[in-house]
Amino acid sequence: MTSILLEVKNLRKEFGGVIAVKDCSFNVKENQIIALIGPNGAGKTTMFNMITGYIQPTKGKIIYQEKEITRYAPQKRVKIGFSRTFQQVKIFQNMTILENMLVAMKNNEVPWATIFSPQKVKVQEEENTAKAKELLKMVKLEGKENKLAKNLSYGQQKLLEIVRAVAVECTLLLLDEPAAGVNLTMLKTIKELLLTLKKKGLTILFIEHNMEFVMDIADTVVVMDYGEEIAVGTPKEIRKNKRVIEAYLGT
Amino acid sequence: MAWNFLGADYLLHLIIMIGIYVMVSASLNLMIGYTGMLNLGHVGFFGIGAYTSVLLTHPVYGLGLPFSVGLLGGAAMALLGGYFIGIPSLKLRGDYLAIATLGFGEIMRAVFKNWQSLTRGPLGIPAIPKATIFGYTLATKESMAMVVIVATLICLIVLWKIIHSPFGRTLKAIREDEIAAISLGKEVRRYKMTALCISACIAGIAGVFYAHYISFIDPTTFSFSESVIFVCMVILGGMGSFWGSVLGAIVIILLPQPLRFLGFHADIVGALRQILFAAILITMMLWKPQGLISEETITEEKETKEKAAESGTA
Ligand SMILES: Nc1ncnc2c1ncn2[C@@H]1O[C@H](COP(=O)(O)OP(=O)(O)OP(=O)(O)O)[C@@H](O)[C@H]1O
Ligand SMILES: [Mg+2]
Repeated sequence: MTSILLEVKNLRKEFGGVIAVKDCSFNVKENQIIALIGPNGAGKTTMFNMITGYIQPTKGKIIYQEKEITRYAPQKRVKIGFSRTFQQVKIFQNMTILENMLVAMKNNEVPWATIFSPQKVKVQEEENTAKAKELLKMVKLEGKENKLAKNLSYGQQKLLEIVRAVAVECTLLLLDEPAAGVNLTMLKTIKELLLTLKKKGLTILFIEHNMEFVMDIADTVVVMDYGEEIAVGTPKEIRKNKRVIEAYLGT
Repeated sequence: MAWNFLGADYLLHLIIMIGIYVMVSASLNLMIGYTGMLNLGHVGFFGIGAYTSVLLTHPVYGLGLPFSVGLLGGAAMALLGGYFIGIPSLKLRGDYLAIATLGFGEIMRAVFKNWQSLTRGPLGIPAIPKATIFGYTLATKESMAMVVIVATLICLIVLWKIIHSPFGRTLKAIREDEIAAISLGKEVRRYKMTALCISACIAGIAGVFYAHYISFIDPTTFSFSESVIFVCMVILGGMGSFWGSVLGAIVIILLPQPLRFLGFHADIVGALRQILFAAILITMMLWKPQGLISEETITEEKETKEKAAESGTA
């Protein structure tokens, strides 16, 4: 029996006069891969920003593990198991790839940690480095640890952002268009990564325009249009859904 | 004639001034270079340190307490100053933070000037007692230089350790992309506040040494133009480069020195100094915005070294 991890209830977001999300509800079941799809401007990113706490909904509720978290700050959501990436890549450009990873991992972060307990910090750092290298290997970024992140290609930067989000120990991983601007080989890499993470018990919610990618790995697809969810179902059901074909998939 | 200046006394004076300014510049670099917070009021913390210590230790105009109390008090008050300015201004971003800190520096100067019952206002406080350490008075320039060097080294080591800790790495991440840092669960405001307080505290310590060395302070010592010089040191040396901020302080102290040998009147030297610093700032911005020692060359060095090591083993 799979229980519900995240519940989005009648979320609405108005920006001045613009209604970005009108009234959107859906559930995310534990240990599933859920895709959020829909035309440009449908309100997908806005939904993501509300779920992760970057913007406050005008109306509606967000429930996570049976607790209402609608007003939680983004950092507090990270503490209870959220991790996310952004539609526009956000990596630490002038830091190395390894540093990018290490920032995401837990270590003693009081300023005088290296003065009063250097040994403990060092041991943790070594452990984290090993773990980071393992993750980087999964997206074929091994051997580049000491390169500045800005020297990576766009696709590689996307991969780095994804594994960095994975490095935050999370229960729910949210990815905004992970496959955008990424070549076919890398696409395969991301697919494999997401399936591996699912096996490890993660729940993944992602936004994507690449239909092949969505149909390949999603357990459930949520389709949005004009700020509302117009269909929820398995990839097969969604492909046959008349409203979805009209609004998004075309013929 | 000019060679008189090059006596041992003059060299010791330069060493002491360089030590004090290195503390200021390295502490300011923690904010500007590593955390990405432009602080245009650093002189406020320097001044708080100076005035607090003088008021605690001065036998006539203060409480006459020992220097160690003055040093701790100055550091603590500067840190508190950082905390209180941080509460309202860390809600602000980028340029607004710069304006807020600039305002803070000016407010502090106004306090030094107008709280006359405490600070003697524009008259300033003369005859500040020499620093003492373990009961030993630093009456000679040699002893003062030794203590300032030790204090500077301690501050540098502490800053080095902080910058090269997980905390320091997160500061850099915040500088690079605040939103991304938040997405990794970092309480950005708390990190900025901590960096600000550490930075303010070290500037306060530098202010204490300055006051007890020069032995006279007045509000004009802590004007906005001094903050500009502080920022100048960080930019010249290289924002976010540890040794850059040290080099920046050394250059800024040494560069105007020849002006004295040329026999200009002290007033003119002051004005010329300002012009010189403005020229440096503009030149650096146009010619080498990353500073004399840029953060990047350090990382690149690391990379090439590693590559060399790799090809060596291959
Ligand atoms: N901060 C904002 N202020 C005003 N309008 C906004 C803001 N953010 C989003 N919008 C508007 O809300 C609507 C939904 O935008 P959103 O970014 O959520 O779409 P999306 O589904 O992610 O689209 P895409 O597939 O192109 O990324 C758009 O019309 C957009 O212009
Ligand atoms: Mg979007």
